[in-house]
Amino acid sequence: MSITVHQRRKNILQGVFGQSIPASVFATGVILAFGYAINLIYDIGDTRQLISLLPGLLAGSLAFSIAAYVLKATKTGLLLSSVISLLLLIGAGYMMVATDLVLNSTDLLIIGLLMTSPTFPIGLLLRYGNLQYLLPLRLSQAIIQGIAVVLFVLIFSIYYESTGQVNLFAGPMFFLLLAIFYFTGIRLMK
Amino acid sequence: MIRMNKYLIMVAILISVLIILPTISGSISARGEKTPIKHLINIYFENHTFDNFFGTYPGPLSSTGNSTLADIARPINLWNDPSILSSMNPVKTGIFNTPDPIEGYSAYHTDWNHGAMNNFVNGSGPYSMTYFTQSQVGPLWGLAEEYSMADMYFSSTISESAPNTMYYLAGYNPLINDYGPPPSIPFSQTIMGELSAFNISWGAYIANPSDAPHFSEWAQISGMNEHLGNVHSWDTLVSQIQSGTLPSVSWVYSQEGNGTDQGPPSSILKGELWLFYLINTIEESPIWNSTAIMITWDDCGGYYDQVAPPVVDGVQLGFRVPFIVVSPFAKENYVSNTVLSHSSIIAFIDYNWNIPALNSFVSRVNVPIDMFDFNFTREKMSFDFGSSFPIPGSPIFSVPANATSPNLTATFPLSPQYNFSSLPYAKQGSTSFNLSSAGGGVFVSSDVTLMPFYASPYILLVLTIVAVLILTIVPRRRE
Repeated sequence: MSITVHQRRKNILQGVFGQSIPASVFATGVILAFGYAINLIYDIGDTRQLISLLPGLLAGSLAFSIAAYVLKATKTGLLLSSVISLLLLIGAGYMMVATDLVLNSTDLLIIGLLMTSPTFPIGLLLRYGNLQYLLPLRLSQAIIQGIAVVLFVLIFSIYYESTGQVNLFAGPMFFLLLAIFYFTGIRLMK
Repeated sequence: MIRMNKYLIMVAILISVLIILPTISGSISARGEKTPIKHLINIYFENHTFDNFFGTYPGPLSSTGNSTLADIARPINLWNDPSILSSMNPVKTGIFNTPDPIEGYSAYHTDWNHGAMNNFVNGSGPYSMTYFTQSQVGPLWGLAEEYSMADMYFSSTISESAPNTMYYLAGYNPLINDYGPPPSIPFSQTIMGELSAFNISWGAYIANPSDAPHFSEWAQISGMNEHLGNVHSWDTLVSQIQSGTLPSVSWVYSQEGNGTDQGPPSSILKGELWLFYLINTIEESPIWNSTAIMITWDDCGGYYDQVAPPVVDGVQLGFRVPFIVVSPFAKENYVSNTVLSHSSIIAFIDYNWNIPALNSFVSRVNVPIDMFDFNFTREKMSFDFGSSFPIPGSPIFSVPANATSPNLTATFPLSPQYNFSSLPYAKQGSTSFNLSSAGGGVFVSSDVTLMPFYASPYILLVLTIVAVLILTIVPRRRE
C-alpha cells in the first residue's frame, strides 16, 4: 500500500517533532544533570577544553542516537540500552574521581563521548510503541537528535558563561522540565 | 534591715542582668587582645605568585656594591635555580601587565603536575612563565625590606579566587572553582560570624558599597547580606582610620575597584599606588601604634611558582603567593619560612583576640607570629618614592598620564629604618605554633555546605524519573 505525499510529510514531522526533538531535549537534561552531579560542569571553564569535549559530545551523541534509531524499539532493547548507558555514565564518573577532576584532552574526549550515552535509551523510549518508520527517515531522525543535543548543550554553555556561572542547576532543570511538558503534550495530543 | 535587703536584691538583679544580657543578645564577651595589636587590616589582591613578584628579590646574586642590598634577607625564589630563571621572561621595563595566563582548576592542576611544578606552559600557557622585576615591583620590594614577608605562604587550594577566598574568610571550602552559588556556606561559620558572636567589631571595605549585595568575594556566603551594615566604602575606611574609629578587624578588598586588584591582564601599577596610599594613611593615623596590616593575593593566577605546595591537615594547599606584614611590631628585613596559608590569617585573628579557633582546620594551621617582635615597636614610615611613583591623595584615583610607563628601579632598596646588623633577631625564621597546641577549642565543630534541595542533583533525578514515567505510564490518546 503506497502512502500519499501528505502522509509522508506528516510522518516526517511526527518523526522529528514527536521523537527526535523531545528525545534531544530530555537527553540534554539528563546529560547536564549528570554533569552537574559529578561536578564536570564546574570543571569546565578553560576554553581549550571545548576542543576535546565538543568532538566527544558530537561523536557520542551521533553514535548513540543512530543506535537508538537503527535498533528495534523493544522492551529488551530498552532495558539493555538503559543498562549500557548507566554503565557508561558510571565509567565517566569513575574517570572524574580517578583523575581528581583533572582531565587531559583524551580524558575529556572519552568523558564527552560516554556522557552522551543517555541519548541511546531515550531515543528508543521515544520510539517505543510508536510508528516504525523506514530506515532512511530513522537515520535522519538520529542525526537531527544527535546534532540537537550538542546544540542544546552549547546554548546552555553560552548562557551560563554569560550569566556569571551561578545557579548551574537551572540549566539541567530547564531542559528536564521542558521535556516533561513536551512529553505531556505528546501524550495528550490526538 | 528591710532597706538593706532591697539593696541586696537590686544588686543581685543587676548582676544577673549583666550576666544574662550578652546571652540574650546572642553575643559572647570578647576576652581582649593577646598582643598590642588592636586593629588588624587585611588587604587582598588578585592573582600573582611569589615568584611572579619576588622571584628576583632583592636583586642579582652578584654584589652590586650596594651594602644595603647585600644585607637584605633572601627568600626562596628564582635565584635558587638559574635553569628556571633562564627559562622565564622578565616583563619589560615600563610595562606593568601581562596577558592573562589561562586560569582555572584544570589549568592550575596541569601546572602543578602532582607537585613537579613543571607543566605551566601546557596548563596556564606561555604567559605563566613571566615575572615582574624591580622596575615594576620596586615599591613592594621596599615594603618587604622594611617590614616582614613570608616565602612559604601558600594560597589555600589549587584553584581560582572563590575557593581560596572561602579559606581566607571561613577556613573551609566546598567549591571547586569560581562557579556558583550554590553551593554556599553560612555566615555564622565565617570569621566575620565568629567575630560577631564574640562582639568583636569588624568591617569590610569595597570601592562601591552599592555593589555589596552582589560582591563577588562573598557571593558564596549565605547570610552576608544581613550584615551589610558592616560593609563600607574605601572613603569611610580612610575617615575611620584618621579618626581612630576603625573596627578591630578589617578586610579591604581591592577587587571590583576599577583596576586596583592587580589581576592580569590589568596593570599592577594602580594597585601598588593604591596600597601605598592606604599604608601611608594608616601610618600617619592615631591607630598606627596598635595596628597590623596583612597583605596577600588570593591565588596564583596561572603564574609560575617553583615550590610544590604541601598538604596541611589533609588539605592540599595551592601555589605560593606573597604575604607581607606591615606593623610597628613587624620585624624589619625579616623573611618568615613558616608554612602559612590564607587560613593562617584567621588563626592570627583568633589568637590575637583570644577566641576559639574558627574550626578544626584553622586550629591546625600555623600562626604567623614569628613575623612580629612585640618587645620592639617602630616609628611610622611615610613612603615617598618621588614623581616616578606618585602616591595618590585619595583611594579612588586615576593613574597620572606621566606615570603610566615609569621605571621604578630607583624605588628599591630603601634606607633601613634600623641598621640591619643591629636588629635583635635573625633575618629568617619559622614557627610551628598553631591554636590546637595552644588549646582553646574550636568555634565551629562541623562545617556545613548549603545546597538547597531545589538545586541538588536529587531534584534533577526526580524530574528525570517523572519524565520517564510520563512516557511509560501515561496512555497515549488514540484517534
